[in-house]
Amino acid sequence: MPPLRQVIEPTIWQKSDLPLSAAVRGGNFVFVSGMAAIDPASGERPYDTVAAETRQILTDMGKLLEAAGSSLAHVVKVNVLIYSMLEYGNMNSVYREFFPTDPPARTVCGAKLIGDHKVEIECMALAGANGPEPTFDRLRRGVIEPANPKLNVSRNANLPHSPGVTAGDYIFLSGMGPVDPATGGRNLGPIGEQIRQTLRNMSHMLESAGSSLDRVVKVMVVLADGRDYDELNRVWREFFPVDPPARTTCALQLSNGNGVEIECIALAGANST
Amino acid sequence: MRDVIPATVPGLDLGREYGHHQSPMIRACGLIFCSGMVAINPETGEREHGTVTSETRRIFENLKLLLESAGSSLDRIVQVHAMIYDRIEYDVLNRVYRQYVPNAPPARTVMSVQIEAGFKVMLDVIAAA
Repeated sequence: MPPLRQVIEPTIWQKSDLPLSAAVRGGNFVFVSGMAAIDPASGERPYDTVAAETRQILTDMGKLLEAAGSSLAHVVKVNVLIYSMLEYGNMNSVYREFFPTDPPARTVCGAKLIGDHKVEIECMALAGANGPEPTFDRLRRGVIEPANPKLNVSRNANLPHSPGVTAGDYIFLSGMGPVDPATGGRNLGPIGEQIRQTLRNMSHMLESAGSSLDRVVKVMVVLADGRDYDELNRVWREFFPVDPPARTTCALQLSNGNGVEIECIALAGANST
Repeated sequence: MRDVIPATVPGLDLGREYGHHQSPMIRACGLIFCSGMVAINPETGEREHGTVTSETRRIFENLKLLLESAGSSLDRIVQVHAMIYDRIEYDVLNRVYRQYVPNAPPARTVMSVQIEAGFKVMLDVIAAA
């Protein structure tokens, strides 16, 4: 029985017009998109201090997780993006109020955020307990490779990563760029074409492992230029027309002149219909 | 089902050393989620700023200590976010990185970001327990 993939529909929020789901349940985990400080009722962006934005985000994140049958106490990993690491302490002091004991594992880094926010937070949480607690033996760890060897960038360029790694029912893909499947060279055309190429390659990679794009639960997108965000969303709708994965986007320096790099976590197997 | 795994060596508890509000590792459903690891001395907690090479070595040695204390190991890592302070160091990172994951290395995304306390490298890791 392949693990369940289910989009969480938060009732407290206005329907966002972005092509991403606020949270997606995948197997025993809930994957939450990068959240910025946006008032869930009005959709307004307060653009406040780091402390106030952190408070707004974690308050909403708690409600979102509860809508998924989980809670902040179930969170296992948090990634915080902050516009300047000088604000670390201001984020940390508010953050600790929301996780009074046994806080999640966490990574904080400074990056350029989309939309002039100061803080963006994403997380993974355990789904709420329903039914008996499953027991876990050592998960089987395996490496996946694309059927098309031209897309095996790590092997062709002798890089120290695998195209993807499976752990039990989860597939973790390395960050992928716009590689031409015919030549293995870079396809550095217009950004929309780069994003399409990258997503086609991602689809190929997942299908090589018996999964598919509609089994993706969480995506991280890195753009070289944050101004390409709208184009990203346009292309995203072509590939994820319904029930899109949770997603976090930021703008960072990239290698090889890439305009985009995309990484994902997907579930093994096919959707049961 | 959600277990906090404390650091078995005193220096690697960044919560205690530097007030980071985070657990060193959380184990859940067969996976281990590690907090972002930087180059700190595992005994004293002292920050060991250096080159990308020296920081990456220290980080992998620290991750080895933590993961093995939880019954896992470096070769059970499934995903890495390798954070470096400047993309120009990408090849420098790769040269030392590959020594620690020689076979069937983890999935990885390299991100050039600002890292805490002036460090040059941080590794953010998920491993199979």
